[in-house]
Amino acid sequence: MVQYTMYIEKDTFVHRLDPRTKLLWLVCVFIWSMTFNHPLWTLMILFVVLVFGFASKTLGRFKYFWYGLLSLFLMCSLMWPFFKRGYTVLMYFGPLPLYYESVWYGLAVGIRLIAMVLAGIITFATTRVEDLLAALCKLRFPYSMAFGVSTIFRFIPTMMGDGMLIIAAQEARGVNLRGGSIWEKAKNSVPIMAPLLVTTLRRTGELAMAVEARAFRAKTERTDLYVPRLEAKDVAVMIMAIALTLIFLYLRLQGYGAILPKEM
Amino acid sequence: MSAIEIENLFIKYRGQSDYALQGVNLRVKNGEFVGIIGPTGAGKSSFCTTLNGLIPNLIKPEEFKGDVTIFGLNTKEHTVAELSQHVGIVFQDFESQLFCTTVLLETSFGPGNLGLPREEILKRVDESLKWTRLTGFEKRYTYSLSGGEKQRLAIAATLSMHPTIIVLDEATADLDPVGKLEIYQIAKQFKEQQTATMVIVDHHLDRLAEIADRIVVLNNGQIIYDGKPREVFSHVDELIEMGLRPPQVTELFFRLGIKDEYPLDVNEAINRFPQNYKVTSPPKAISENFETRAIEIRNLSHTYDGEFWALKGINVTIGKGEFVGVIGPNGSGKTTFAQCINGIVRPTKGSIKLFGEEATIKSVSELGKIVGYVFQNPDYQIFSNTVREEFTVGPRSLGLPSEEVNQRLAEMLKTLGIENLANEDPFFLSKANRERVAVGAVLTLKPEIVILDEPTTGLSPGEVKKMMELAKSLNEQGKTIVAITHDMWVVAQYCKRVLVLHNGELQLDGPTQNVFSQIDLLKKFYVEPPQVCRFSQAKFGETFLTIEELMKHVTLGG
Repeated sequence: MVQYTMYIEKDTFVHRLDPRTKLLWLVCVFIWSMTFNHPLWTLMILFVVLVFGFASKTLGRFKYFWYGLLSLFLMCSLMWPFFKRGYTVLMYFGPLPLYYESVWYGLAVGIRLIAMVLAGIITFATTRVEDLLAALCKLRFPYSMAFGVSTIFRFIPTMMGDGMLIIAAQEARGVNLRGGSIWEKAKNSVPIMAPLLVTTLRRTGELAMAVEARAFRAKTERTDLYVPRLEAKDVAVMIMAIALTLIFLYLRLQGYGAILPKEM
Repeated sequence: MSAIEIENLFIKYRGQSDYALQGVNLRVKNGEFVGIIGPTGAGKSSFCTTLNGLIPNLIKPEEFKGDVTIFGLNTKEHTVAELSQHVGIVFQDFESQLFCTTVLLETSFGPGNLGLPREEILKRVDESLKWTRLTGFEKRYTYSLSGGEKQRLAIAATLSMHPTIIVLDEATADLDPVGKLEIYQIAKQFKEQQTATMVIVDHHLDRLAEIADRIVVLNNGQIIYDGKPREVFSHVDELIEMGLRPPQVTELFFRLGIKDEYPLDVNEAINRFPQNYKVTSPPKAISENFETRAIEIRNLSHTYDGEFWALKGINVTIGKGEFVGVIGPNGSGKTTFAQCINGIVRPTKGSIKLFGEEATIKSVSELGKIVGYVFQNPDYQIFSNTVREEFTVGPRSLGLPSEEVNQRLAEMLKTLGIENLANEDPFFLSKANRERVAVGAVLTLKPEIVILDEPTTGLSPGEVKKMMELAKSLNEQGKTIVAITHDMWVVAQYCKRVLVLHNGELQLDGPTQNVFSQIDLLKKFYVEPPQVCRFSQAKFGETFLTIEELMKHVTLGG
């Protein structure tokens, strides 16, 4: 069976944390990353994320993400310098000036994005969908909404399976799916996307009936089997995450960790 | 009090001119086991969905007249959630009924919604999984289950609501014979232990005959027959006319004009069959000689993950113009075998020659000109807005001139008998017609070899017949047909040669007559030949594949 879910079954400290703790940590990583725009500082954030990643022993399993992350990083680092004005001119590309600060800024944004994406991946790789659902419920998200989210996760593998079969089925009837240009590729997606949409649509009708037939929203208070409980280690991680956030924000307000703008 | 009471029920959907149900009256006693049969579009599903109030509460038809009362509760006055504690429904498509990530969550979803205490939920989960033989599966992800397991889980998830009426709406249609059997075993257990009132919709009348107390026949939204299985199934011609298939032994007695109670299963038929019938001439085993080798497979082995071998050293030669059936339980390697032939699967080892040319090095779309592959789910192969477009995509991509493209289109519409549908959007056609469109889309490439991968799944017997008649006519035009199927009567009636796969190995290969005569051996591969084969073997020591064949060779003798 091909693994379609992001969750990686391991028994580590990170896996055992309450989903709510991990969600808070994720939010904090986002705040930290956005706080700084100096590459050395964002690198520090990335380092914190990586430590978390190593602790969860999931990084190795996401090799196929590395390529994407690297291209994301390169794109940001190469594009930003041309859009962000700095102060110290490094060199000229024809009439275009390239600033020293802009290059640094680009690097910082690249690293920032990697840290954020990686933190997201680690969160999903260490948290089961059902735990996430339970956590969202506990956080007073409306049940219908949380249920919808978990249903999507349930059907991703099914849709992937459908997709693979559809590609095979279309090729078998002589539809050439391996076109060259971008335009051709877009045209080729129709024989895959149309049947996938139809198959999914047909399913949705019965899904709604099946959900209703099992007393969906019969009572305002439903019983959840999984009830997440905060433990001492959760509290410790939460306090640390919040403390770091406060420290980082304070440092930034003091003028640290920013390459642009020069003066606060 | 009756479990189900339906009075003068009329249902009409928006945009439809005909009533889906018109004037249905039915009373079902508590604990009764009712089989509902009828052709596609007879209103069976509409009937089922009224029982727990999905109609008219969730699906609102344009017109809903009459009353449905479940243990005294009128469905118009109660919500689906309330009614679902009395009526549990399991539908045909097992994918769309499971929406939780794990088996435990799926089974606890219903009772959780009812707000029951945690201990009670866990107790019910244990109980339901035990009923459906899924104990130990609690932590498994639903997507990783097999089709049969998924359907059993759907039943378990319904059982945990403690319904007093269980409705199976073609719940076994998409399953393989093993999966079907498992569901029927569970149903039988319910009956024996009087767990619930059962309503089962199915096309497998021989199975229903064995288990149901009562059969209700729906046609055009009306109840045509309602009675004990033996009574109802004695209307052989009328049922066949409707596109249903009464048990073969029943039909045999009827055809021979034996004026006795018709039998419902093979044993009964053997005991009751008059002694004065004799075999006048033994059946002819057809072993075809072919001149051209269409498919030549040598030492074919395949593994998807490097550990489990889906195919192990298959050797087989199929001649041009043969009609071959490939049978075996799910997971036996049938589909992998067929997909190797058209290149969707690249075999790990071995060679495949198509008309003398090595196929394993050609691309799928190149092979598509020689081998047409029709998938089980027609929706996978259809994507255009009209049937006309659907049929011209293939030929156009071959770069054929437009006259040729149009000619093929016209030809194909005629062959399939769907000229009137040329401008229709395939999306809105019935499943049987979509299946035809998918076949047509593949055939417009004029492949010499046609592979049908479970073309009969989910169709009513009448529709299956039409589909297979189409395959037969293609075969008569000289096409080589390879059909994967679970319907043994289809194999008996249409395939001249059978390959039996089990655990990735080719276990049996020969003329259908020879293969189907080895009844005990076939049991090991979960294959059960049609009733008429089993009957004629036990009674005459000969294997007749169809009723017609038996009647040709057996006559009243002095």
